Amino acid sequence: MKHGPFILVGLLLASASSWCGMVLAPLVQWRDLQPEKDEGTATYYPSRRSGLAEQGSEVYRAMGCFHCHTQIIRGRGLGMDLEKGLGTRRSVAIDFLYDHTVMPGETRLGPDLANFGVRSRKAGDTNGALARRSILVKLFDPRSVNSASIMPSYAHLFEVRKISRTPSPEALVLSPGAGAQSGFEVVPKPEAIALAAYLTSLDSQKSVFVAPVPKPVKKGGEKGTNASPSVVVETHSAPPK
Amino acid sequence: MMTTTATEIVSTPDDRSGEHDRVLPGEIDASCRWTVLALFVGALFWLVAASGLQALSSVKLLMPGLLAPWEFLTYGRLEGAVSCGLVFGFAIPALMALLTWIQCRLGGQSLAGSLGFWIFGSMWNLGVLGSVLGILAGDGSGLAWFELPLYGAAPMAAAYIVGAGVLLLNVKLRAVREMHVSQWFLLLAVIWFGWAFTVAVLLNQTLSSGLVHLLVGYWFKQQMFFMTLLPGALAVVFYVLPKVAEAPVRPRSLVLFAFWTFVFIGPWGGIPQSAPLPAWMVSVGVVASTLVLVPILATILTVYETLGGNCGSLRKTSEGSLVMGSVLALALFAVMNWVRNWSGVAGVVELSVFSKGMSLLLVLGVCGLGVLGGIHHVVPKLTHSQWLQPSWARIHGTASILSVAAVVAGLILAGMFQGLQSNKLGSTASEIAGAARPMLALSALGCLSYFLAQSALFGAVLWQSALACRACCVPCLVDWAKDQRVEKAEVGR
Ligand code: HEC
Repeated sequence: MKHGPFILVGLLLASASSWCGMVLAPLVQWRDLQPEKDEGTATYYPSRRSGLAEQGSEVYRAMGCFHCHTQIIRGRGLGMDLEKGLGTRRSVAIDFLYDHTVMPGETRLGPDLANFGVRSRKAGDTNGALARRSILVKLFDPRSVNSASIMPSYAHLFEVRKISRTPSPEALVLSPGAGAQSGFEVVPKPEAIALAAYLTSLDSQKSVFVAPVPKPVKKGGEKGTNASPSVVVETHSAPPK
Repeated sequence: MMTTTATEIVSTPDDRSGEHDRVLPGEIDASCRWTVLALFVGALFWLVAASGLQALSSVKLLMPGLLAPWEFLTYGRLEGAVSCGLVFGFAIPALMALLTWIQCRLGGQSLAGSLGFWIFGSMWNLGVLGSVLGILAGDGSGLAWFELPLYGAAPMAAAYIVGAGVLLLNVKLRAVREMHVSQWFLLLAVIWFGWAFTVAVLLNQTLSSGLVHLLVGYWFKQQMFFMTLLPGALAVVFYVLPKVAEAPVRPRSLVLFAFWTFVFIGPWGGIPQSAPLPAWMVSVGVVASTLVLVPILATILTVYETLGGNCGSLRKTSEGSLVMGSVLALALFAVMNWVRNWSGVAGVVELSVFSKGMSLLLVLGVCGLGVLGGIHHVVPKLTHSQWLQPSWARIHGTASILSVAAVVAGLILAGMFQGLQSNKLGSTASEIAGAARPMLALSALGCLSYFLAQSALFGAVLWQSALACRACCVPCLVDWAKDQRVEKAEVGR
């Protein structure tokens, strides 16, 4: 090849066609992406996160949590996510419609968090307060919850301070040896509270048009249900104290 | 190692139109010496910094309590800084430096517009510094391998336009009109990166949707890995290889076929099967990853033919071994990239550390080893001296290859064990992490030895540059001092 221009034109053609195919075409396809209405409950999915949870997603990004946690459920035939109860269907674009930063992640060194909000809420925890508390303990000292955990401690999201006359209602309840010295308490900073709100807001279980949740087969007297499956998944081996 | 006066065995004699205008190799080297050396020093600084941080982050997976109170050294932040340092700090500027030198040598020309490269080097490195510090401080974008914050990315894009512009100007001004194979890949890498990088930065700034950013992130990663780092490494391989083998690249028709099929297939792959993108895109990506095997295998066949089947000849020099390491890494990458999409395999390896292993196979293996081979080849020519100890150069080459092998093999195997364990119903997170642990330890060991090897290279390049600087400056200073003395004596009289 003697002529630079010949190579230039070739490169231009190749890059323009791939750009149209791999960027422009999906953008055009997504132009009409809208929240979907659930006729049964007359609610829309997805809905916007609360302002606090939105701030929490920024903390999640800033801390690089997505280097260890995915937020992506794979469909049948690709891994065992559905069989393990990590979700009810595969993740699709609409799940991230309102996210300012979409962080599906590439590597699962810790459990997938796509539906963490659903599985962290135990029976009786109506407003999610208990879930948020146990998450905060985990963030402060992951190895107090699971001694073999490789998750980093995010103690810098907390303030260790002297207990004044009345202890703070926000202070963490930690297992002996995990917290501060006596006379001191561990109180979450606003970033930690926002992060906990974000994590409890993670829920992508609703059926959507492109990825419907399979309806359970009704057998005999059993009632079919579309509710979240009982989830006992890749979680810590010891229960939070 | 070859001397600077060695003839350029790069293309057949009939390619040599414009031969009469050619500048001698010694003059060419003199014209780009300090520009290229400065870019190398910057790139190697980032390689040492990034591989040091990488060693730390890989050890942290085994000892999570290590340096735990330091917020900016938590695993998630380190990973972002490492990818930024390796690709933007080391690979891109090192490729720019090597490609500039290669272009001058193949084009038979002195370097024109070296000021442009100095502007590129300083602005680019400042951008990388801002980005790495920004990511460590929590300003990363959240997109894997493209975590640059805007205040780092914007000056980098401007710097790149200047640097690539001057390099393309040099291509235009070449004395030897016929383009060598190495120059095709050079043009591909330089132009493609400029276009992909500026478009990605602009799109992510102008459009606010997170989904769009994600899409652009996947696209950019593929363009950077496949259409920049890979062809950049091939440009170096196709330059160094014929030198070491003392034979021209052949058969030309095969490499021509490989080049154009690669250009049209390469940019379409790279979408993970689990990505929340339209299903047709994932299918296109799988087909592209399969088809791209053809040009890559054709490239490897060209390498084999050029060597005349005698691959052992490459082992005689450190640059030969490193370049061969790069070609072998490419072969492995192409095959694994195809196999990872098989239905039984994808369900195991996707979303495990296997993906990170594959990325590092390309960045540290294909591109990194090729670039290190190029540096081994070029630095002695620029500094007019052999490496301090040629045997040290061989040791560095071998250590780099073995370290990369350990890093990549560790991650790929860890990913497989992790995936197999995690597909067992009822397996806990600790069991999954435990399954990967021994291989993660191997990878951490590789990271540590890679860091040590590259620190030694950085020291050696600094030392050689200092010696060259002394050799160049001392006679000038002596002359100047003599002049001064004469002047003073005249005034005194
Ligand atoms: C080095 C990798 C790593 C990083 C970085 C990391 N985690 Fe984890 N995370 C883990 C591992 C491993 C587990 C499972 C073991 C355990 O329970 O600690 C886990 C568990 C969790 C759990 C409990 C999940 C469940 O299903 O029980 C939550 C919530 C969590 N991490 C949130 C975060 C957040 C938020 C961040 C960022 C601030 C983060 N993680 C950063 C590795 C990591």
